[in-house]
Amino acid sequence: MKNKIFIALMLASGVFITSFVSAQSFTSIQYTVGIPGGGLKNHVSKVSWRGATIEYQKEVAPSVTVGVNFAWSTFYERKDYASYTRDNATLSGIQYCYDNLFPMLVNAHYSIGTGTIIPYVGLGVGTMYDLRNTDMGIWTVEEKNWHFLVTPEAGLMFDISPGTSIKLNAKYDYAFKIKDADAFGNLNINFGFVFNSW
Amino acid sequence: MKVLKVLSLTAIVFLLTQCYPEGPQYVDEMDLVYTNYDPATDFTAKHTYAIPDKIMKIDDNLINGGDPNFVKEPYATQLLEKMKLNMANNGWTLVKKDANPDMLLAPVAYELTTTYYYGGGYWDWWYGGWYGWYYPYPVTTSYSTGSLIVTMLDPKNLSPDDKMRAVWGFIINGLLEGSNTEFTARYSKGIDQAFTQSPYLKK
Repeated sequence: MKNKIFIALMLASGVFITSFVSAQSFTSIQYTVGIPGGGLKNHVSKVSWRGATIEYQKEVAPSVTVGVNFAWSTFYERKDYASYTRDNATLSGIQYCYDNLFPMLVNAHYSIGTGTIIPYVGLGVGTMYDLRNTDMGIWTVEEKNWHFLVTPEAGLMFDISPGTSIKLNAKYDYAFKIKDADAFGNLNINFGFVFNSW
Repeated sequence: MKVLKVLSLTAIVFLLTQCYPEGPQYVDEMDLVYTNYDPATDFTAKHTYAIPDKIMKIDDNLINGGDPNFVKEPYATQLLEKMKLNMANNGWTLVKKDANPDMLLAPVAYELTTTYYYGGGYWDWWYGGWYGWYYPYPVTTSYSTGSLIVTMLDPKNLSPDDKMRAVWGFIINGLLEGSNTEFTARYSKGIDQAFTQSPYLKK
């Protein structure tokens, strides 16, 4: 167990470990639903139904895999005609808010038990690229930011055939505050297939 | 399982290419109304105003040194009457410009052509040293944008070089699309909104 914690900590500190015993690798493709959390809700409060995740994992010890995870979610909200006042100025119109999130992680998973249904927990660290647009009329305000990202994760794997599983998980992206942007969170619900060696 | 792999990839590609959310569907959804005012001005102490009977256009012809053009009738009068109605509803009295008005309203219409060109500049997250792309054939789309800009001026508050102080103003910005009737209706609605969001004008 201590070994497994050590591996997870090494990953969390940015050290990528590659020289382990030869073992299985897994590739998964998942559909991603995004639920905006604190900091993101102020800009777009609606759930994102547009998203995808691609993940590659390699077994480095019994029950432990490490790998990389790339995802994309688009959030969108049309805000009704409203007035926005700052100091003496007021602007009225319909706002169209867009948020494209691109989390990029190195992560580690620890499977709990064996069988047809295998629960697991995981932790990832990496970076989040956040592209935000607020459109009013023909104008847009665009913000592009890179955040440090920490992502705890928990889920289930269902074996459906030798070499193929269904994966269902919840992943919380926490993007840290940076100089030009506040921290924010995003809860992902992912559903997809895992292929044992692509 | 090859079928599953292909299906999964197809679904992802579909998501990436087809499902980007739509923005405005109708021209009037692009209309904006902006107001700003001078907090040093006590509007309650001002009662009369004057306004021209034409709306001057700021267009390429004027910028290139030509004579001013004006917004066509009956649309100019419809817009001016809408402004006068709102001023009256806020307790202001219309007077002639030589009757020593407290304020002047100066309306102008801007007509500009905007060219939209998408150079694919958003992919640097994916590909190092990305500088967008170009098309070897014309793909630009142009549309005309218009603004009605009305400025309230205080003719009794002059700067050392005799310029009048602008104390309030509004801008209605939108696309110059649709019929003249639709255009006038949209801008009339914008004039109402400009006064609604400027409660300090009311007596």
